[in-house]
Amino acid sequence: MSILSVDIILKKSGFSLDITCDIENQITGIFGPSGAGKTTFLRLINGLEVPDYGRISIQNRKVFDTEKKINISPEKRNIGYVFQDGKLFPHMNVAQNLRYGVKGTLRKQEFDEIIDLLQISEHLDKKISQISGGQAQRVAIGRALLASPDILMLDEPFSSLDKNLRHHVISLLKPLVKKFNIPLLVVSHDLSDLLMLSDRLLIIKDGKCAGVGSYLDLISLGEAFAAMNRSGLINTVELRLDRLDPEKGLMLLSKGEQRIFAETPTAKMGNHNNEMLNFFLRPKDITLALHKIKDISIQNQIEGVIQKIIISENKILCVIDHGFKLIAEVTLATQQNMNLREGTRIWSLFKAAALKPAHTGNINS
Amino acid sequence: MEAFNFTYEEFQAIALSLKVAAICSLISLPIAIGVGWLLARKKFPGKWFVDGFVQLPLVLPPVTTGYLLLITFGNRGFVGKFLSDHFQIQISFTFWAAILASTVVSFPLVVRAIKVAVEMVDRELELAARTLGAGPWKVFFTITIPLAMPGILSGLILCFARCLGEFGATITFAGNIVGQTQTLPLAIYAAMEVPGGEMIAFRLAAFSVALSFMAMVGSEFINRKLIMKT
Repeated sequence: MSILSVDIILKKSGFSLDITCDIENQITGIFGPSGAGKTTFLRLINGLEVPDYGRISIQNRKVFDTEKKINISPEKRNIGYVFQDGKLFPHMNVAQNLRYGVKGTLRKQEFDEIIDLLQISEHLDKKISQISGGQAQRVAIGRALLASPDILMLDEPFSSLDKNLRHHVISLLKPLVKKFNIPLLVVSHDLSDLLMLSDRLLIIKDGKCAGVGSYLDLISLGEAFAAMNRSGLINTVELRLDRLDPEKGLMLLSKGEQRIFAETPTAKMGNHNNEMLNFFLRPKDITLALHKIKDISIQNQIEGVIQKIIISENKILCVIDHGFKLIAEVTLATQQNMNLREGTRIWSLFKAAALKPAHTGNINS
Repeated sequence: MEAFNFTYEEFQAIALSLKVAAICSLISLPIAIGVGWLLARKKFPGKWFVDGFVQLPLVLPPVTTGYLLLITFGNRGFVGKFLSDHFQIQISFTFWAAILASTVVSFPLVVRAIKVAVEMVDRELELAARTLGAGPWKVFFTITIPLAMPGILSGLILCFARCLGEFGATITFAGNIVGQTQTLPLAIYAAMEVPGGEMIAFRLAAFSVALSFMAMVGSEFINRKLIMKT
């Protein structure tokens, strides 16, 4: 089912936006450089701004159509929207903010579930000026969710938070979306943040849609690739924690059949076995080999098949399928020396230290 | 303390002043909130004219305002004649003339304060409320008004204080009738005109100073409380 169907044109002085796209996935990341029109795109969908021409449907419900003269006001579109800086009401406390958009009577159980998942239950009586940025962002998300929207849109929700806090909020979002079965659109100019949530992306560049689809499909599209490459391509891997081995300083992880090692981080992480953890791995940190190599300090050697080769200027990007996909970056010379082609069986080598945990420990702020 | 024994007439003037100021503030407030909000938030043709017209009494000599009121609402004025011919209502030189004169003169002060206060309210907060399902009225009463409250209250106190001091428009349009239109400033003026009235004038003036001072301190107090709340 189509979650969001958009075909709109907006012309302002010095800026124009012309986007046609269909979004079908539960979680979609909207990525693009600053000033590309991401925020405007969201505000056109939720009715805070009005397109000059076009159509917008949410879950097959038409909310805007210039031809049929439909323009449903923002309060009736039923779209949850979290502003970049939360926009909590300063004259109300946390609980009053949370309840502001509740329709009909508040269902106690739902309220409790949301504030538990967002870890804000102990701040309910606080004033907005008394809570931290991370807490405010979570309250804003809770407030939007409690209005029971058909779709939730977050505009740069992480930009005001530091890296650790950001990953903490991201890790809370996934279970929330799953639990309440609500489609989520997240805008960010940080690719790695988005990839932790979903590999489904909509790329906006200069007010135009440069591609919709999965991350690894999009990197073979010129425009989308150029936009993503500027901020740096990254692999995100979700791994299951099998065991901690503090004596060796390692974490034993797995993904399907593959066994993977990562360094035990200094901060507390991975409290219980079978926990799913997110890691980043830079394409540059992957070494390729045609055979498994003995006597080497690199802990991780996993076998796969090159699925796609993308040539970008003087470097080569290989999409390698190991049961899960990773992007590896090599030079043109390496590709020629090793005769790398699509379909080549290959070993991907990376150090345990190259796997960077996305979120370390419990964060209480 | 004999100097502070107020006579019945002096009490009347004080009570009348307070009554005029209170009624005038009550009438001004809702209209000023409406006009202030319109001027702060809406674009409409002729906005410059409305803005100028509302602000006019602020720069006009009060006597001029009183004169204009008189030629409009006086018995031979076009509105006054209509009212007296059809409804037997007379406004000029009555209690209601004092109210009208004070209201017109103090209105720009409230509108100005409210307009600035509404302009200071973050528009994005109102939009956030809209996305949470609140219609324009709910947004107005739950977001705009509470956030503009310090400005609204200080406007209200300013209006009250301006009414207490109103002289020119009142004496022109409402006259100086003891017990009906003779407010505190008019009573002080009348006392000064009478030989031997210096003591009365001094008493009333001292009271007037105390009252105005209290209004200003009160306004500051309310403002601080509200700022601390947010």
